[in-house]
Amino acid sequence: MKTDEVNRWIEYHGKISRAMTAERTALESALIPVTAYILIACIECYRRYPEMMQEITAATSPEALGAAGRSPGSQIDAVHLWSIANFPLLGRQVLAPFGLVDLDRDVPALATVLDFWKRAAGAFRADGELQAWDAGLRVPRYGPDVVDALVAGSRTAGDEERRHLIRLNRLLTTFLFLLYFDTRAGYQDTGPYPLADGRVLLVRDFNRFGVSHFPWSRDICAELPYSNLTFALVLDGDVRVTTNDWGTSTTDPPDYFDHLSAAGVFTADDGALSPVAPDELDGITHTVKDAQRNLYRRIAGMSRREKLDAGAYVYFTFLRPFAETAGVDDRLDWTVPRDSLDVYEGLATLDKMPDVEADDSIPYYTPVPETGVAP
Amino acid sequence: MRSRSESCPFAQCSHARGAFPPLWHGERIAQQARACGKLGRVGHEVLGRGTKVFEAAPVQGEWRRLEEPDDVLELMDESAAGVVACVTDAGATFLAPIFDELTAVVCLSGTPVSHIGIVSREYQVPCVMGATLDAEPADGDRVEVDCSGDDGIVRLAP
Repeated sequence: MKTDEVNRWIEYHGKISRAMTAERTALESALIPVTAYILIACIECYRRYPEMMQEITAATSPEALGAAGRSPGSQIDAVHLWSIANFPLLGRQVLAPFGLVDLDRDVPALATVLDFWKRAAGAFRADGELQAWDAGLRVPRYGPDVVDALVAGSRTAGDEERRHLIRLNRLLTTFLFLLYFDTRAGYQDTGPYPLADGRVLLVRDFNRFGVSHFPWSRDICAELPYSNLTFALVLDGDVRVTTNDWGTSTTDPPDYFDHLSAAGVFTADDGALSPVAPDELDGITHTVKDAQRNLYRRIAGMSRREKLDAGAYVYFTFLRPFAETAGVDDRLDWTVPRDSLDVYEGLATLDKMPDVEADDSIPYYTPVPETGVAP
Repeated sequence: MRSRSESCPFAQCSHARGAFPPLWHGERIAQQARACGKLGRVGHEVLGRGTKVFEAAPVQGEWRRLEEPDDVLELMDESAAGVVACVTDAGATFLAPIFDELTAVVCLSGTPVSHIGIVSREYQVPCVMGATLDAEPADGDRVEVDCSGDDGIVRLAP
């Protein structure tokens, strides 16, 4: 990928990310120093992802990795794909004002990142587009085989089953945000999947909430009966659904559970999709609630430095599912912080993103200089 | 009631600890707010407004400004039932273990697609995002969060 193509993709991501960020705006949490660890992690991503992506690509092509994300239970998904392209760009943006962008490395590094992302994202979607933004806010993650299986395993829920379903959905939503340090890495929606009978399927995946490479999961999550749950929510045909690349769905009307035609809960813990019995839902909910309370206490008891490093680890390891699928995760160094130590102390004190007047005339991500002048 | 730039005149005498009857406190709030031209009549005074996450009928609860994880842990150990939580930041994690008990959330930043907005939608807990408060209740005051109109509105409870 040459400089002009790198710049085209920088501009592409910048326009989309500017618009998405403007809709959401705030990132902070009174529990954890979100802004500081995002910036630290993104600098690590800019400096380290290119070489890590090369090693992953040497084992498995980005196209094969993207295609692997079309199976339930995989964490190669729209959120991770958006992130592996945008985190390095954001890290570069933070480093540039300090003159810390290595110009000799800048173009080839970004070319590696953007090429990896482009090939994987195209194979993940398989609809000729690269992101939901390009496709009218649709994430068609699953093909007809998975969609058919989800719909076939869904049924009209009685009142009690519906209550249990809603309660589990709620608990998992907050628990996955907590487990993943206020990111959408563990929980996200895809679709809409229009069905032949006029109804529409919205799929919600809660991934990897059992014991994982997160140190805080080892005892907190040990009692959870599942690590991955997929909710199939079949909605009436008059419900309009959109999803974005951060895994957020919107529905019109907003209370989609009032328009639930059928539902099913599945797990892909053993690889294949298998149904979870409705009478299990309440028990899972209670276990998740206990885990959530314990995890909150654990995180609240961490020092600021521990929270920073844990959050930075979550963000930095957005690339890890790709490495795991390629079978090279054990060969890569996931230590964080490692390559951000020159700026770590300065960033560690940030409590929120600096207030900057929005100026659409300035590129969201600075293009690569054609002349060799520092960005 | 205090303006955003003033200290709360009742900060040291919270009726929540029994020092003053709630009605007395509420009336003093109303008087003070009327004096600065913000309020109309006792019971329906608009204290602030923002963007509602979803449409919901008005709900009433006890105002609590939550600023530290210890504030949440306290409610987790006691109960967050009937609480209208006011928070500064729009992350989803801060209120996680008590969300299912809250009556409403008022967030002073963010938008409906911020993480806390996403969670409030799932929990069907009425939520006002990016709220601006002309006058802030003291902890323990009864307030109403009304997401039935175009905006999300915070009022003193009737």
